[in-house]
Amino acid sequence: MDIDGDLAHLVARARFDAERCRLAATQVLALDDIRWRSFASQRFREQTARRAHQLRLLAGRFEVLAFWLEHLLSVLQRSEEPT
Amino acid sequence: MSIDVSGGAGGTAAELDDLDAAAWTLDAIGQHLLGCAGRALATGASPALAEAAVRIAVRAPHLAAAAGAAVAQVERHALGLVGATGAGGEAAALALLASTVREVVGAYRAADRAAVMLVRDAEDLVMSEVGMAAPALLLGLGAIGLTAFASPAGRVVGPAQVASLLDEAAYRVPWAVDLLAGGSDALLRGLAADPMCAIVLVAASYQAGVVWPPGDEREATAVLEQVGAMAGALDESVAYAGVSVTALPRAADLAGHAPTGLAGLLTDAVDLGDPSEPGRVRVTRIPQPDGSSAWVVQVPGTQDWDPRPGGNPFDLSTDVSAMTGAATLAAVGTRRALEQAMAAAGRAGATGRDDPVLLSGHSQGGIISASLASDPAFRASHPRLQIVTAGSPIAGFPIPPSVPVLSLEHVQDPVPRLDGSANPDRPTWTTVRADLRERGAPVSAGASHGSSIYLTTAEEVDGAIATHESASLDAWARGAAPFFGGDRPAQVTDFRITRLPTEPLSSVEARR
Repeated sequence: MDIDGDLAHLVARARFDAERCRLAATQVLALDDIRWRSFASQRFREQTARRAHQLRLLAGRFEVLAFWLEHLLSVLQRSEEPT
Repeated sequence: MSIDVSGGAGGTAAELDDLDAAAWTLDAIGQHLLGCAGRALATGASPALAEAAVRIAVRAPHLAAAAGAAVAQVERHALGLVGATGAGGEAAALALLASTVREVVGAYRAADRAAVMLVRDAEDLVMSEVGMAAPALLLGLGAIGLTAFASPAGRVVGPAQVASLLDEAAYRVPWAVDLLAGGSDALLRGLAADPMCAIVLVAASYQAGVVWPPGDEREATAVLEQVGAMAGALDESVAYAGVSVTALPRAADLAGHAPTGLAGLLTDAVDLGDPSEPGRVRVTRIPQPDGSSAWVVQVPGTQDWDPRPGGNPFDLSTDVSAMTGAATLAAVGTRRALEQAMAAAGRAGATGRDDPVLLSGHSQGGIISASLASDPAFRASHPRLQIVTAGSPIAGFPIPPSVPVLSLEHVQDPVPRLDGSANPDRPTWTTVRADLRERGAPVSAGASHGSSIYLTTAEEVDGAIATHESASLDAWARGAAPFFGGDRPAQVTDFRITRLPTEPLSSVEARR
């Protein structure tokens, strides 16, 4: 079993998902550019702003996941070094 | 500014389409997030985590605690990303938002439809009653004599003054024309309550191929046209079987310029209305930088009001026939004028198939433009087609969304209201309505239909485009750019369209 490779793959995947969440936040914010019907404008703008904020937080949490995976990988690599 | 812009790229339908697209975007993002949540779950449950911890503990026991802590953190964060506060929960929130947007859009569209149906039912109810009362009303009028009516002020007035009063009334109460036109089918049904009227109307309906009673304004117009045909009027097919199209020699053929803008189009409409040169269609070729050509075809308004068709196809019978959706010789002649001009420029057939074509006209010119735009065969020959109309009732024409339409209308002009319904609100159909009361125009419905007053409106719209006052007009102007630019050289050719009689013209004219 290639543990190093598996962990590196998990790190890359977590970073990819973090990027995907950031992109999603941008897409949701871009919806502000469309002309919401005036009666619903404020309500939907609040909703999209909240969702974009949540998506940015999610991106940060995927980055944290990637950090701990990377840390585990570095500990594994240190354990393989001759003492 | 006295103009009001509806429909088009900035209209309600376009906004609702945008909201639909927004709902799809939110759904798509939610799907991506579900994928993220699934991958986070797989990460938290990955056997590689435990395997790594074991290997580290075996090889370097002093790092075992650090490895255990890292694995615990990975599992904690991965599982946290799966649940209600993670990507899974966010995906659900986005799906809910998308669903709410769709509900709002659906409710808006349903409310629009309900409002239209409500107005239609009210029109039908009123006009059906008017139709039932009409025979008695007409008999009453006959009894008191047609030469004298009492005015509201108690004065006795003659037929000319009655016409003037009606003209002023149509100007001051423009929605009455909507009522009359929108309820024309119900009016006929009401008229049929009288046995004599019923016989004539049902016979005309049979002749027109309409199942009695007529279901809409278009069928009602077809029945009325047939009533006219039974009286020897309004049917060009009785005496005419074809059309001749002749290019007219004029100095402007050699060199000209593209229209400066909408005002340029309406200036030409005023010129084409010159009664001393009837039956002219103007085709302007504007060479494009890529070697192709753009074509502007300008069709005149009604020039002959005699209900009996004559040599000039731009007459009342064409008005009525075109409004029923029937093919007219005026439309055939207009198409052939364009084909002749394209052939003369070496752009016939497949060579010029992708050339942009703009059909434009005031009043009947707009009706003929709309009828050609509704013709699948014409669109197949000219797929980059668009139309501009001024004072034309074209809401009922089946013009597909692929054809951009710009309609200029005056609130006080009864003619564009004759179709009985508002123009469709869609991203490619922009309607500009001008309220003439704000201009101090003459209080006359007839005058509000004049091409020269529409020229003033066109100048106002050109101004609104120049100052970017409307997203819909801006989008239309971008699409129509190949046709305009007063400084661009162009070739202008006028064609005379004449009906060809089935028998010698002298006998046809003698009957008129």
